[in-house]
Formats: sequence, structure tokens, C-alpha cells
Amino acid sequence: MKIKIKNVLPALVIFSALATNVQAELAPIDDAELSNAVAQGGLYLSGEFSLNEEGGPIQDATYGDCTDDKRCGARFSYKLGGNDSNGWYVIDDWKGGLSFEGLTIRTRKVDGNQRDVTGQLVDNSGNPVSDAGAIALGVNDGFGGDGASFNKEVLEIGLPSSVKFDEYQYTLGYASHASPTEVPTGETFQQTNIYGVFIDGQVNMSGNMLIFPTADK
Amino acid sequence: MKTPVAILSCLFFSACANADMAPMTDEDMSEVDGAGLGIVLEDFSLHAGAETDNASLFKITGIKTTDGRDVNIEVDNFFIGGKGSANFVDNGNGTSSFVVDPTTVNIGRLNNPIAVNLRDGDDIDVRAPNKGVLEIAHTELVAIDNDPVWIGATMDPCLKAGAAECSKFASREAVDGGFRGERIDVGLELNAKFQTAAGSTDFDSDTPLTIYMKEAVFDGSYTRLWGDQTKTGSETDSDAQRNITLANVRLNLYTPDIYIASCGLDGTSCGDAVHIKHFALDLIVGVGEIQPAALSVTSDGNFQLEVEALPNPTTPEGTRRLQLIRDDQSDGMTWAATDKDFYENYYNDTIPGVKTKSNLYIGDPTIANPTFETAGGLQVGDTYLGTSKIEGIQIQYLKMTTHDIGG
Repeated sequence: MKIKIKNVLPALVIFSALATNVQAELAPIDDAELSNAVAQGGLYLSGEFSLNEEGGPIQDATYGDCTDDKRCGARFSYKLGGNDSNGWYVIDDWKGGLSFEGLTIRTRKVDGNQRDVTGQLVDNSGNPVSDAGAIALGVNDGFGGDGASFNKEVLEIGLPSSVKFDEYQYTLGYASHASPTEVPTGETFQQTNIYGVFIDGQVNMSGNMLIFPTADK
Repeated sequence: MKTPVAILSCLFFSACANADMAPMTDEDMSEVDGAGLGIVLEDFSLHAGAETDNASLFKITGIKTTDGRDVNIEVDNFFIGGKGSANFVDNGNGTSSFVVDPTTVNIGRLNNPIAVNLRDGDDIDVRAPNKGVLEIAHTELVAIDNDPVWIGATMDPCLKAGAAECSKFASREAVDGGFRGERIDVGLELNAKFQTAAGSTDFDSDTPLTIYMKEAVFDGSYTRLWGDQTKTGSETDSDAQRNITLANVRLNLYTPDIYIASCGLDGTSCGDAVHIKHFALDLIVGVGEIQPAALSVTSDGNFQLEVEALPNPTTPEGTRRLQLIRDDQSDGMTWAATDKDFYENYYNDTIPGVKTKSNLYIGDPTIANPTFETAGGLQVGDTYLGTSKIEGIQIQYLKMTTHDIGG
């Protein structure tokens, strides 16, 4: 697969909870150690991302700064293999911003009991209890009674309550060459745009995405 | 939490690792049959583009009329939620209002989640020998009363009368005041806006269409993708082999109610709605490696989707593909004893592990004020359109190519 990214200028990326470049040595953790790990806390992320708001870094006959008819969004194109009889999939004129608040990442034990965010067993009032006093929730476990038999750790991604889009847009198309500026002499550039998407405003969400390994199929 | 940060920083700053990477062959890949990823959305809802605050806008652009005017399709009030996420409320004057307030839902079950798997192409239900196949699958279909078929004899009573059979999918119904269930309410308002003149910034008045689907079940749906250096069925021996994405797709959808209504822009003055009770679709696109859907981009920049025709034994290309079937037999994958049996199995939908036929069932469409039913009243003055059933559709051949018509 060949991938080409052109004319990209991400203006701002903030991940407030991410530390600066951390240097650490990675060592594998075996299953036994993993099973002893109890999650403490997690990550809370908010972020803002803006792409080519005032045009990309390339200024030439094809690409411009959004004040004229030239393309000012980023261009992402890829094709399968190096064979010349294949064309390119293209995401073109990709620009705009998006921001989100309150994306959380943590691990969590899902079983038939009730726990707080630190993994501590709690009663219905949220007070810590010992294992023996855990509240078995049965069908009220949020999974219709699937929790007790599941009994595993999952990675929980808490979806941000809202994602704001600021004139976020792109066009999906197919092209004969990676970019209109990279056409060999004697060949013509062709691109078919299928549709464009434009989002401006807020998307409200709730819920968690739980990710876990499944058994061999 | 040092480890995840270190992993993230490796993703962003790739200097951490220094390793020699060697490509894996298709044979290597097909031997990989690892554990997949399960995904469950818990307590989930999504709501975008609520027209009432007039601040959210999701639109699809790029369509033009023949005289060069832009047509924008605006999507408002797009939502995914649980049972009762939206409602038609009777205004008392023959119209109704469409009110959206998404409740939450689980999508996928812990013991039967949405799964992303690398499947072994030698598996009898995948049938892409010697290939590694990426599968994205919804909750698996669980046999209902030992009937593994989506719209089989068992589902018939459900589709006709909404009998207890309808509640037997792996994705469960919501319990009033209890468990939120795994069935999805989904709806949106489509609004086609025509530019008043080419180049103008004005768009003409709105023509919105509201579509609302209640408690939908998608059990057994999947998309399988793999790649091959090959050519599509319509290409001849002189065509060069290309790298093509091959796909098998199955879309299962059951919903007890679909409403299609025309409402005012603010959703307050909906007229009569087309109400379809018990809609079921079982759509098969592509059968293993013998009749895959091929996705490719041609060298002149046009997208091409082709579902190959069955191999024609009188052509060299057809003979080559029939040979693939015979080679598969030696891999232990039974298609049929002979070429003739293969065609017989294909048309009778009796190839082990895979289905070749699609079905569509539309039960009881009516046109009426959408609030009559929720108010518990009789459907007086509605128009009953009858039941339709389309069974045993087989895609013999399909080819779609985009063409740039300029403008």
C-alpha cells in the first residue's frame, strides 16, 4: 500500500493529560502479573485539533490559503500496491477543527458486583464494603445479568459528553494520481469526487466503550 | 500508568524502537488466528444536529443539478439511542410533532460483543483459502428454536403478528423501568436544499423527511475484507492482475417499526407517516473467494464495485476460478464433489458454512397519523398496503463504476 499525505498543517494539538515525551523501558507483563493489577485512576483527556484553518504549507498553482479558488485543505491519498493499473483513494480538501472535553480512559473490572471508579467494591450508597458484603446486582448490573459470568477486566473509554466541530469538512474521491502536482508528462490527472461532508456544531454523546480480548474464533 | 504513556509516546515518537520488518506472506497471515477484540458500547446515546437550537449542521455536499446548481443534503436530529428515544406527539389537529430525546442503550453483549477479528480464510464459514481475513462483526446470530436462519420458518410468525419469536434474538429488548436492552432506536431528518441559482448563496425552502426506526436488531451482520493480486470477473486474460480489496458483507436488520414522515423544519407539523411494521432484511453481498465483491480504483481515477459473476466454465478465466474450487477441496474445504454439484449447491443455497441468498420481508405498511397507535386508538382511515416478501435473491453479477460528469 502506498500512502501520500500532502499539504497538512495541524495548527494546534493539546492533550492536556498527556505528559511530555516519557522515556521508559518496556518489559512484557505476563498474564499472572496482569491479573493482580488493580486499576487506579486513569486518564482524563480534553483536546482540540485544527487542520489547515488558513490553508496548508504549500503555496503554488494548485494549493492556496483559502482566500482564492485554490485547494487549501489537506490531501490524503493511498493506493493498494505499486501496480500502475490501480488508482488512488483520496480524502481531499480536509480542514476544520474539532474539540472534545471529558474523554476518559481507565481499566475496570466487570462482574456481577458494584464498584466505584477506583475498583473498590461499594454498596448502593457508594460506601466501601469488603468482598463478602459486595452487592451482587444480578440483572441490574447494566448488562442484563451478563456481568457475573463475564468476570473480566476491560479497557473502558468514557466517551466525551460532547464533541464540537468547527467547519470540519472533507471530500471523498478517487483519482488517477496521488496529487494534481505530481503528474508525469504526457499523462492527465483525473479525479472523481463522490461527496463532501461538512460538520459545524455539536454532537452530544453519552456512554462508555468497553474493549476486551475475545476468545479465538 | 507509566506503561500506556510509554506506549503512546512510542506511537508519537517512533525513535523508541529499532527493528527490521519483513513482510508476511498470505500463507503466513492465514495461519494467524489470534484472539480478536470485543467491543461493547455501554449506556450509549448519540445526538447530532438538533435543528431546534439551529446551531448544529451536518451536511453532504457535492451533488449538482443538471443546470449546475448545488444540492446540499442536510442531516438534522441524527440520533442513536435506546427504546423510546423519539416519539410522535399528537397535536390534536391532525398533525403531530416529532420529539427526540435519546435514551441510552447497550450495543453488543459482554458474551457476544461487536468483534474485530483476524479470521483464518480456511474456515468453512469464511471460504477465502490461504488468506488472512479481517472481520468486523456485530453480535452473532443465535439460532432461534434451533433454526439458524435469519428469516426462516421460526421467524415467520414474528414477522406476521409480532409473536414471541421476535424477542428471541441475542440482542435483547428493553425492559420498562429495568434493563435498557441491546436494541437500537435510530433516526434522522433529511433535508434536501437546492441552490436558487448557480453561484448563489441562497438555497430554497426546506423539504425535510423524517425517518425513525425503532428497536432495530443487527445480529449476524458482518464485513470481511482481504486483499488479493487478481483481476475482477469481467476482466479478460489480457488484463493485468491488480491489487484489489475483496469483501463479503452480510447485513441483517430486523425492526418492528419504521416511520417515514414529512415534518416541518422544527419537527412540529408532521403529516401522515408511512409506517412499516415488521421489516426484516437479510442481505448477502459476496460469497467467499468464488464470488467476492471487488473494490478497486481504476487507473483513470474511478471507483469500481464489482460482484463477480459465477465462473463460466467455457472461458479460460472461468476455468481458472473453477480450478480454485478444486484446489480448495485438497485444502479440506468442501464446496461440492463436482463442478456441476457446485452450481447446484450455489443455486440451492446449500454450500456448507455460507449463505448465497438474500431475503427481504416488509410486513404491514400503513399510511396514517403516526400518533394513532401510540395513543392506543384504532387506525381509522389508514391505508393498508399489504405484505411483501422477496425471498431467495441471488446477486448473479453486479458492476458499478463512477464516472466524472464534469461540472
